Amino acid sequence: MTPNFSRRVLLKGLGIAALGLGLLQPLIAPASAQETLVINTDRSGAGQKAAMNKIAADFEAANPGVKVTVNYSDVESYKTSIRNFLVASPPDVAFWFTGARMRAFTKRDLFEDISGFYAKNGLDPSMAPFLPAVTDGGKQYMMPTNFNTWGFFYNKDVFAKLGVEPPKTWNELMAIAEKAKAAGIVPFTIGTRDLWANALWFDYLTKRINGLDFYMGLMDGKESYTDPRMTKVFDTWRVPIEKGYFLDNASSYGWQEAIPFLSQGKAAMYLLGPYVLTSLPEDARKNIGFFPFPTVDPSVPNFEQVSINGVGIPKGAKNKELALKFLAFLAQKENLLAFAKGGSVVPARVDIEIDPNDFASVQMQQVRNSSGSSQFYDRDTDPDMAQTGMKGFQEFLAKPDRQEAILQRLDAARKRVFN
Amino acid sequence: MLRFWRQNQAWMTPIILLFLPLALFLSMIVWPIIQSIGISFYDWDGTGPVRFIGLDNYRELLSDGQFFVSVKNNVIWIVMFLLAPVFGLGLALFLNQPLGEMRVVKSVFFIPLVLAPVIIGVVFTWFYDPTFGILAIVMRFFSLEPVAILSDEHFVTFGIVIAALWAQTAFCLVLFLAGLSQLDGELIAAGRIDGASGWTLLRHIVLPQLRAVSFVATIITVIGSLRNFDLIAVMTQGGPYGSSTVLAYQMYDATIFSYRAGYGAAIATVLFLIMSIYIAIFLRHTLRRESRGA
Amino acid sequence: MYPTPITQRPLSVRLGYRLALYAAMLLWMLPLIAIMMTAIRSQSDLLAGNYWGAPSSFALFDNYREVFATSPMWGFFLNSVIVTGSTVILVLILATMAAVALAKYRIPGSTLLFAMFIGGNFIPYQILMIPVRNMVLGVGLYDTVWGLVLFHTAFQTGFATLFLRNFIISLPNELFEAARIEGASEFQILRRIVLPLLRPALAGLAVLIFTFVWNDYFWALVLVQSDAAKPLTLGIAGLKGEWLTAWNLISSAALFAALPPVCLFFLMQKHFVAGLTAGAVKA
Repeated sequence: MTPNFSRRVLLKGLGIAALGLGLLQPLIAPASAQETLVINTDRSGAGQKAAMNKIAADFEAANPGVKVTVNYSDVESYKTSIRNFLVASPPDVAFWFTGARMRAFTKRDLFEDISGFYAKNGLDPSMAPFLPAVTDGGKQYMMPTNFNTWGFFYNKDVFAKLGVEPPKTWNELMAIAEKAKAAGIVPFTIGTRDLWANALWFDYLTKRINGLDFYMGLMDGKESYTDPRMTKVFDTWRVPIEKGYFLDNASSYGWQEAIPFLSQGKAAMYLLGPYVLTSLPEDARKNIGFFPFPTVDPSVPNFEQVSINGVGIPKGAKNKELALKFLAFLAQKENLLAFAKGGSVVPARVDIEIDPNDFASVQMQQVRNSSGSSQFYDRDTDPDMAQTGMKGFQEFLAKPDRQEAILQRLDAARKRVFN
Repeated sequence: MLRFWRQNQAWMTPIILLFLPLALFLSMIVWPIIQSIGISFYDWDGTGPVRFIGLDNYRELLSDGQFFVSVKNNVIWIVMFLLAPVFGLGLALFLNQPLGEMRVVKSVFFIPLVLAPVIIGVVFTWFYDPTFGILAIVMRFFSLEPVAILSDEHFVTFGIVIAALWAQTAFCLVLFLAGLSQLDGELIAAGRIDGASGWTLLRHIVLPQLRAVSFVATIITVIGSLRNFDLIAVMTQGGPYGSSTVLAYQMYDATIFSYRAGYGAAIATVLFLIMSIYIAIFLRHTLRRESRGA
Repeated sequence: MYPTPITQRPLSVRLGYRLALYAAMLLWMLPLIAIMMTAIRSQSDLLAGNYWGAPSSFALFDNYREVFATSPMWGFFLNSVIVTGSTVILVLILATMAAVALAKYRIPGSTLLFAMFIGGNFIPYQILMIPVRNMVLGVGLYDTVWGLVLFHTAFQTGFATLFLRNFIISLPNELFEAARIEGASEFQILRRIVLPLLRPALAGLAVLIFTFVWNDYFWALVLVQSDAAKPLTLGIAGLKGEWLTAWNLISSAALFAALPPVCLFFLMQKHFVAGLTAGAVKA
């Protein structure tokens, strides 16, 4: 079925009739300046929103006659609406995830090729490490804005009380968990209602046990979920689950609702991103420490999880020149830094000086120490596969004895999706 | 011209009257239903190219464990939801009293009806929170181990239905209050003279007069149960691991999160077929009674 | 009247009834009280898991200030008013026309048409998602309030027609015959005889459709994207930050959004019940 309909003409008539009633419409539409730049974004957290509003205002000031309109959405509805608006009413600038999520759209020719943009603005050296994430078929379709890493956030008081130090290996991690459990503290808090937080355990264990190549093969549907190497991952993951190291009833909590357990000292650790910090009041943040996911198999290098966000120009944008100008403006060091800071993430330019006291510097260090990285389960694999997979992980955390059936189901999905 | 109209207006009027509403309804509702059924025979991600695959989507549905979980949950929804007319009637009998403050009291009981489902879902999620929720606090007070309603594959659907019942009961309450205000006073007085009271009076004199309202309340409730979506989306997103998913949500999940519009359309078609049964019952009932009345 | 009016009972029963009534009211209101309490809380209370205790500070006004400062809430409000208002008016007009035609004129296939209206009204509307989105795209109304008006009008017309037809069919045919004999034209009959009788039913229906459309989230999600066209429900969802959900802000915004339908309901209660009695009860 294509969006062509026999009743189109009739509907057009009705539509015009309805528009005739639209006398109030001008009241809500912004007064039109000479040129309008429309930006759609899901970066709607208070910090990033404030930063973006300031950047937009500065851009207006630097370009007289330009009016910037920013449409903020929450992440979940944005995932639905972007597929509509890229086709139907493309803005001039659209924020989005990079990697497989971006390629889902470039495959359908919905994003503008901006390969020339980097050289023209002298950004190719400073953004080079992030370019693979925005590349499809040798061309770049987005500009990376910021990235963040993942790892364990722990309660410093709890660690002091248990007399433990941040672990370097999986066995040390398990030993700390055992101690916490014995002291009546939940070792790992986690909220799986929105599915994704749990995928971190899967991603890290897979990469740390089987390496990055296997992981990427799995993401591309070339490796099987019933492979013995996958069994090894789940057997390792099963140990802390069966020992009761995870928060009970994890699926009753959203990822964010599981944070108070950590800050109140009812739980010791949380495998998550910097959002743990932005979710907490200033004074509570001081008590939260961080360590990267420990080594599981010493023969496997430390592959990391680095998620990169970006911004692109939809193919159907009305003001592409202006949009490119805006991208260049946003890419300026101070703007990119302010924007990243608003979300406690790291600006996607290697030449930006980062405050060593800022958590961003920790994340930067983590990237430097890694031997390679992937982004995130639901950004690296097909969306259909990701949805089935993350539901399976949620089930595994609650019912580890169903391991066999879950892996069978995931592999059936893999065969369906990648054929 | 005017004469022509005067002579022919009797048969032309209904056509003129029906034209606009019918055109709108056909193009925006009926045609999309047909299209949706059409899409179910294709493999389509919602934006890209389409591929005809015949009945493959339906075949897959039959081997999809999730589909049967959804159907089972739909059945739970219908059965549990039928408590709404019962509760609604009970509440209506309780509230049907001539007190000065009743106007305000009734308004309070109507409020769930006008609240956005999304908000209702959020509040009940807080109620059920196994650590901080009211339910957990009450259970711990009685030294019981709190049950994580929304994490338990056996309880989760019931937990969501209870939240939905709150608003649905309010809806039935409104209908039954309207019905009670229309009761035939003479019949009731006569019943009282014959010595009927309380339960007997309710069963033999009041309920028969409420039959029409009860029928409407029941049908609307059944339809509401098959349509429910917002609460599941907010409270569990169909989880844990799909155990609270119903057909309407599975269809949305497949279309939006898995980019499978064709498969979603197949689920929608099955849902539509189930719904057709109720549409047929309603229609038969309405038309039958009218032909009896005429 | 059934049950027996409490006013005819002894004092002890009356007192007991009032007690039970207020207890039931309180229990019934619990979820609403929870929303109100949350609207008062500050973000730090919620992050500390303090959902039910006393709020550590009274942050209601701060919450509202933040809601209105960080999002174009009045724009969303205006969009909701336009969408809901236009839909209610259009539906009442269209459904009255269709209902009169179906109830009081002999038309071939009228049963089939009626069945279609019922069927369309009873379907789980989610199944229309993709085709309706494409259609609204096709007529160029995607991401406008009028796209929403178009769909809601079509969908609610089914429900309203069903409701009104049942009402009109119960009007005696003699009314129509007498008017025709006196030489009234068909449209005069509609305006002078049917409409006045229909008024209570239309009032009840208007309130019902108002709440349905006002609270719609699903279609707003499917048909609208930009702030300029978002209704309140979608605008409130937008208050969820990228990574942080401020339930206190959402609760206070939700209370704001619930005000118009609650007020309408309260003011129109009499008409509403009368209208429902007229339409649904006779169905």
